[in-house]
Amino acid sequence: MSTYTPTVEDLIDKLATLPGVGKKTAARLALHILRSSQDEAQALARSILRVKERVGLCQICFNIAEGDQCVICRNSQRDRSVLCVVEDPNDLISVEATGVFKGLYHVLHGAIAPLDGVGPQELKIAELLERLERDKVVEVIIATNPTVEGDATALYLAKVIKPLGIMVTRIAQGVPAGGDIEYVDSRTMSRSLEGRKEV
Amino acid sequence: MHLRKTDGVVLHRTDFKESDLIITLYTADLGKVSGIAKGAKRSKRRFVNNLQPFSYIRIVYSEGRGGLIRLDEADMIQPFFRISEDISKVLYGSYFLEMVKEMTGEKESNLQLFELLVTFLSLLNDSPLREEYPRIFELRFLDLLGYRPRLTECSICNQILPPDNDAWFSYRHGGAVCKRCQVNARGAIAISGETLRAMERALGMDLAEAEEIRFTPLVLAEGKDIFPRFVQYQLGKGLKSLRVMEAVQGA
Repeated sequence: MSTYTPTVEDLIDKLATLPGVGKKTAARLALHILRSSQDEAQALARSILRVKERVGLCQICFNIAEGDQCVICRNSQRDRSVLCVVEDPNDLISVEATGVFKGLYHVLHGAIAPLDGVGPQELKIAELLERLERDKVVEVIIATNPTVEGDATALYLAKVIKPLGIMVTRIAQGVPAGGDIEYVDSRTMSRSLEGRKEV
Repeated sequence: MHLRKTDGVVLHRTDFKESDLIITLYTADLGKVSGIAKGAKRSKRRFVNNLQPFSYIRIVYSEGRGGLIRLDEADMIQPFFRISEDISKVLYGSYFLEMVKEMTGEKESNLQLFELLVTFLSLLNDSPLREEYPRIFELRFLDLLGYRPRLTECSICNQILPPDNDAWFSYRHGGAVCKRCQVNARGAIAISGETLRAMERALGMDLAEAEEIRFTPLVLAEGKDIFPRFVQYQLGKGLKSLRVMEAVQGA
C-alpha cells in the first residue's frame, strides 16, 4: 500500500517516466516540489508548458528551434557552403561545443536501421536533398555515429549526394583523446590505423 | 551466481533505460537468447563496443530473471566490421540476422544454423558481394527449420517434375507444382526449370562452395522475386530489413 497521497503518487509516476529517473529519484523530486513555494512550483509548470507551446523544429535544418528557424540558421556569420549532418540534436550540440565548425547543420532525427525498419523515408533525407539542390553547398560533412546504423546512413548519403557534384566527407574515427589503447576494440583500432596521419 | 560462457552472433541491440542494452544473440549451444547488458552504453571495459549487430562474440553470462540472461562480459571473436563498409552488405546481413531472429525459437539450439549464419557473415565480410548469397542463405535456412521447398517433384501430386520443363511455385503448398496441378494452386507463380535446378543445387552443395556458385541472370531474377516472399509467407509477416532494402536500393 502506498504511503503517499494519490496526488503525490500521481506526480511520482509522471516524474518516473523521465529518462534516467527511477521511482526513488522521482519520489525525491516530488517531495522537493511539495516543499517548494507556490511560485517556484508554478514557474516549473509554466516552463514545461512553454517548452511544449513554443519549441519545435527549425524549418531548414530540423534542429530544436523557437520560431521557424534555429539560432544557427538565423546567424548570418555562419558559412553556408558547408553542412554537417548529424543524427540527433544532441549530436549537433556536441559538434557545436567544439567551436571549430562554423558551417550549418542538418539533423536527420535517426539513422538507417534495417533491423528496426528505419529506412531513408523515416529520416529527414529528402529535406536534405532538397536543401542541397536549392542552396550553394560545396561540402557535406557526415557526423553520424560510428555504429552499423551510422555507417549505413553515411554510405547511403554518399550514394545520393555525390551525383549532385558536392564533396562528401565523414568525421574521422579512432582512439579517443585521453583514451587507453588497451581498451580500444579491434574495429576502432583498425579504423585508427587506416586513418593514420604523418606526424 | 554461476557464470557460464558461450559464443554467439549479435542479432539485435536495443536501448534499455539510461545505460543498459538488451541484446539478442544466436549462440552455438543455446540457440537464440536475449540478455541484458547492464551499463553497456557507458562501459568502456566490459563490453568495449562489442555488442553491435554482426559481431561474433564470446560472452560470460548468468541466468537472469524473466527469461533474460545477464551479460557480464563480451570478448570479440570476429567483428565482421567490413560488412558496414558497403551498404548492400549491411542490408543483406541485416536480412540474415532478422530471419534468424524472427524465425527461431528462444533457447532452441541448432548448431548447423549457427554455422550457416557465421559462414554467410564471413562471406559478406571477406569477399565481394554476390547476389547468390541471399538465395543460398534463404534456402539453407528454410531447410534447417523444416521448411525446405520441394523443387524436384510436384508439391500437390508428388509426381517428379520433368527436369527441363518450367513449372509454378506455390507458397501455400511449399514448393513447385506441375502444369496439371497449378490450376489448384491459386496464386502460384511461374518458375523456370533452370531456377528449380539451380536452387536444388544450392540446397545440396557443400557450404564451402557457396563463394564459387554462380547463377544466371534469369535464376537471380526469379530467385529474388520468389524466395524472399516465400520466407515471409512462412513467417506470416513482412520483414523490416526487406522493406528498408527496397527503399535504399530504389534510391
